[in-house]
Amino acid sequence: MNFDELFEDVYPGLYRYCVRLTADPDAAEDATQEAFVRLLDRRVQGDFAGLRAWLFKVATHVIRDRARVETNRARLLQAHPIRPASEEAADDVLERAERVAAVRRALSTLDERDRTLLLLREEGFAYRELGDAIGVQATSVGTLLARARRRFTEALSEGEEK
Amino acid sequence: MTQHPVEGTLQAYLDGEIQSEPREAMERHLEACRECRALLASLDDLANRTARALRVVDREPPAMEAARWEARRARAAHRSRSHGRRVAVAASIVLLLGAGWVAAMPGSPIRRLWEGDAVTQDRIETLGPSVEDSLDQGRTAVSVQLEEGRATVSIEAAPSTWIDVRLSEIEGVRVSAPAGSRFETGSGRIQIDVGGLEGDVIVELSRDAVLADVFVRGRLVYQKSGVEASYLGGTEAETRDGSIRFPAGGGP
Repeated sequence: MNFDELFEDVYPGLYRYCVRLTADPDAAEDATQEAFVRLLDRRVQGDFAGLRAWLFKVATHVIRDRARVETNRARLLQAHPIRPASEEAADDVLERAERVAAVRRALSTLDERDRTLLLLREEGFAYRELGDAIGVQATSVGTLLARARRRFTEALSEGEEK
Repeated sequence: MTQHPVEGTLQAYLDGEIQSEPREAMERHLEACRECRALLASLDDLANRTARALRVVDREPPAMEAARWEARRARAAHRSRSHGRRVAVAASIVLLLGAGWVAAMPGSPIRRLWEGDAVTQDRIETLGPSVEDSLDQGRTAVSVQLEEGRATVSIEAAPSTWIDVRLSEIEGVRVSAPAGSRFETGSGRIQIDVGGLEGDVIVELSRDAVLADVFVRGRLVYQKSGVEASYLGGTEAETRDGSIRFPAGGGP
């Protein structure tokens, strides 16, 4: 598998996954890049699906190992307010920032396994791959996924009501 | 299917994870069971609401080209840190070339007057302790690390890559390549052909190298003339944020 093709196909989704997982674009960029660097460095071989799963797994580990997820989330909310697009009105910016904060709070109510499962599924991983990623049988994924989505959306609704 | 499927099975059905036969049984059940249809609809709604909510968080990814460049650069930095260990296991040769050989080479590229911006030795030494850069050459990545006046040109070589190093008097040039690569040496010249292999070819040029050119597949990628070093292939180096940056070029 050509590195450049793999990079172009996987990078946007992996970065999006990392942003969602960390709530920190800088940390997400670091983790995404680190995964690709390790892929290059270790000369990992495989087909597209296998390499893609490997990259997501490594990025997840990178984020976990750095143990900065919660810190980053809090830091992000304080130190990285959403930068307004030039034509965006201040009210729009504020509203968007509030929506982003609400989603992040809802995500933070999930335990790590459910959060990982939910976010990986959003990137289109199959149940077998999801099971491998979180250490459960593929047959359990549907139940866990439905539960995680329900918890997430309930937390989101509760946050909006407050 | 007479029993109601559990929620996880319905979720799997919704996600296209149920194979053909049980899938057909599930569809027959759904046709007949309003309760399960309602549950399926609610699961679908949960999935849609989740996806919509998460999109709020998304940020534009960094520019692809810059991100790819960063990955290469980071790898070059990592590679240079572990370089000593790799050299120990790679087939490695050290070639010492006598002074003045290259002067006899007609048409030698190192006799040319080079054009374009170059990085001076003084600049290299003040930039330290380590400056790395990389340039994609099609499927072959080239990176240059400048440290304490030394230049390490690392070529992540795809099969069939050949590298030419043209040299004048040099106290020490170290070249390492994947085991099984073919080396040819001549007057002021080292050629490395990785053949069907792939791996790292590393050319280390000491600070005392007066004239040196490194070609990858016939394309000049790095040259040094006296106190000036340039990374070429039609690009000019620029300094930015305390490092030297080389815009990525086209294929070889």
